[in-house]
Parts: sequence; C-alpha cells; structure tokens
Amino acid sequence: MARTPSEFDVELADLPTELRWREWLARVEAVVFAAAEPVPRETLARVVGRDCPLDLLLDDIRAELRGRPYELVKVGGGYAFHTRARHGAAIRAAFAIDPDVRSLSKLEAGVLIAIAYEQPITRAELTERFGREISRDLIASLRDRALIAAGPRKPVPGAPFGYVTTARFLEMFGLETLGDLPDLEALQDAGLAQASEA
Amino acid sequence: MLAPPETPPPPRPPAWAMTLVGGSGADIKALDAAFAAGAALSALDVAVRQNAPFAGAWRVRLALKAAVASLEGRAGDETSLRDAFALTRPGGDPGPAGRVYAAWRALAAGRRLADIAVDLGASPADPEFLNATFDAHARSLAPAPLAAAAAARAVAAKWPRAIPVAIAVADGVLAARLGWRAPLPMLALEALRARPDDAAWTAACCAAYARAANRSCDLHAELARAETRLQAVAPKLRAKGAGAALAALLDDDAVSSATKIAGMSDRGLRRLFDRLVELGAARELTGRPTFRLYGL
Repeated sequence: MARTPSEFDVELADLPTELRWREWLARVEAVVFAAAEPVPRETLARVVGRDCPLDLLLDDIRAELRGRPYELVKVGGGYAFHTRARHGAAIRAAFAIDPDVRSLSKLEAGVLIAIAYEQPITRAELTERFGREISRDLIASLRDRALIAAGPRKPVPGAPFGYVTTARFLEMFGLETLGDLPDLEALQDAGLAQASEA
Repeated sequence: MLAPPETPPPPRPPAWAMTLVGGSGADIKALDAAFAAGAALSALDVAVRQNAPFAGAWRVRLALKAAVASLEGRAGDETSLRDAFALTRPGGDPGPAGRVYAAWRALAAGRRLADIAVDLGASPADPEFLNATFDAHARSLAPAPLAAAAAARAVAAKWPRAIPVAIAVADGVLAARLGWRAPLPMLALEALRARPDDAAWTAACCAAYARAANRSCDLHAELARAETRLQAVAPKLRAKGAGAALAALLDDDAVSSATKIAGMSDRGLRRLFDRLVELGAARELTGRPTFRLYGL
C-alpha cells in the first residue's frame, strides 16, 4: 500500500502484532510525557489504530511503570505522569519548596490571601467576606504555621483580634515586603481576580 | 501638680517668606524656596528648643500626620492608625499600617534610622548604607534643607519604591544639621510635587520644608492653647494620679483609660478624662462609647 510522506500511519498494518503494540505503547507514552498538561483520550486516539484497545494499552503502561518513581494517572480530564507521593519530600528538598505551602487547603489559602490584602481583619469580617463561617480552627491552623499573628484589636464589642500576616508568610511566598503583593486592582482589571461586591 | 510657667508663643514663620512658597508651587524658584525654608525653619527652631511640656504630643501628632501621608490613603486615616496603635498589646503586631505609624513615632523620638527604615519599606535592610548616608550628609556644610534633600536623593536611589525611607532620612539629616535632639516628621506632611531624582527636587524639598515648618508651628500654637486650658482646670482635680494623667495627655497624641497610672484604676482614669472633656480641657478622639481615646 503506497503511503504519502505527510500521512501519519496509525494502523501500522505492516508490522507484526507484537511490534505494532510496542509502537503504539511507545507513542502514547511519548505523547503523555511530552505534554505539559493532562492529555485527553481523543488526543491519544490520534496516534494509535482505530481498533486499538486504548484502555488495555494504558494498563500495560501502568504495569511497566511499577517500580519506577512515577505513575500514569487520570487527572483533570486526561492522562499524565505524576511522581509518586513518597518522593514528595525529596522533590521539595531539591527545589527548596516550603513543605507548608502544599498543605494549605483551598479555603485556608483564600483566607490567608484575604488577610494579606486586608490586614488587620477579624474572624467575623472574614466570615462576612467569604459568606461562610471561618472557624476558629482554621485561624488556629494558620497561626500554628506562623503565617498569621494576632494584631490590633478592633474597637467593637468583644474587642476581637485583627489578624495580620507574618514575616514567615512573606518568606513562604517569596515576597520582600507586603508592597510586593500583586496589585489587586490590576488583577481584577485583567480578569484574574473577582472584585468583591462591597 | 503641674505648675510650670506658661510657654511663651514661638515666633511664626513670617508672611513675607511663606508667600514665596504659596500657590500651586509648580515653578518655585530654587533660591526663593531656600530662602523661605531658612526663614520658616528658624522660627520652628525656636519652638523646638522651647521643649514645651506638650512637646511629646506635638511630635506624636506630627508623626501621625506623616504616617497618614506616607500611606497615601491605603488602610489608614488618623482614626484607624490611632486605634491600631492603641489597641495592640505591648509587643504585639499593629499591622502594616500601624507599623508605619510606629516608625514615624520612633523617628520623632530619636530612634535610630536603621531600626525604623525597615517598617517604612527599606528592603532588604541595609543599616551600613543608611548610617553612612546619614553621617555623610549630617556632617556636610550645606544648609540644612539642602543637605536633607541630597540625603533623600541618595536614599531614594537605593529604594525607589520606598520613598518614605528617603523622606525619613531627610528629616533626620535636617534635625542633625539644626542641632535638634530628635527629628520632627516634616517632609512627609507636604505633598511633594517632585521625585528625588528630578532636577527640581531640591527646590521642591525646600518649599516643602518651609510649608511643613509653618504647619508645625501652627500645631505648636494650637497645643500651647490646649495646655493652657489643661493647666487652668488642674487645681479642680482631686484624684491621686491626676498629675500623671495630665502628663500622659501632654506626652502623646491619644491616651486610653487602660493606661497604667499609679494610684488610678481604669474606671478612675476614665472618669478623670471624661471630666476633663466636660471642662473643655481635653477631647475624646473616637466618638465611641467604648474603647475611648483621649487627647489634647
């Protein structure tokens, strides 16, 4: 069968079964490796034959990776290679990533950023801002990590503490001073942050 | 009890000097500005050397205004800065705006520049550079406002995003050249229409010092009148710690009833302050029913 050079051969009809399988395996692996983001099934389907059982192929890849420090995962609507969890410490050490950065939940991170921009701010004000209860536990967990501290009290009944960020917070986020925080208005104008309905 | 002689009114910057720096100030001539600064600062010098009983309140009020100005409206008007400072536990963190206020207060109290520069935005901190720059300009033979302007230019070159540091150093150099025991926060009070790297910086600086000296003298006169009223009612106060309470009012911008005064409880102090307000000798500064702050 004549093949034009521009046509990418996915069927590989010329190859014996074993070799064809190996070639498809290699292509899928290469594509997932080369991609910066998870690769959807449809993209992988473009490099293998119409009748190729993609799931079996992906299983084979997983099997081959047993014992390797990374694995094939399905995440974010596609397939990717992720390093295995037990190597997390080594990776963080290699790139000097602060261990605490990864352990903040989405809400904790949101509260921390709100405190950074609006400090000093009380727990009640944070609750109002987020539209959900910001618990004492959440505040305590940020305090335990030395990311926030109690600042001036607010002159309202109960004299609640206003929370402020610490030097450790600056260090963790690679900021020299609070002035280095991204300009909130500029982010909002660029559509990267939502303006609050104040 | 307080019984010092009444503070004589200091000379005021003469009108013939102040007119030179009035108006929009866009095209002030350098010589005019320098002349005005000289005249105004010589009047202010008298006020500083008086070391009036209310000098503490005067300096802190100027520091508060300087802090508000250097924050440029971000998270701080006088009320919120006053609150942040008063409502922070000793040793606690008053927040970024509160720390700016604390830095200006420290400048007015004569603390070392290196200690306060960080809170004003000098990052990374470089105490050797600060001290060397300060010394070089404080020892120069140039007239005080010119030395101050030159020092500001040098510091602003190092921290262009933290102009308040340059301004604080300028105030420090000015005070050193004039032989004051501690700087007065001044340059920050006036909206500077030039940047330290502009050609017109020196003239703008001199004009700003002239106007700031004028405002400082105004405030001095206002506080002198307040001190007079306070002294007038002092004999009517029978509480044990009344003298110390009055001294506290003369020494700071705002005092809370939680201040530790020997012989007075929190409630006793609050009653005393409220009585002073009734007698028109002091003001309650917050307008709140709780967490009240009192001052001249």
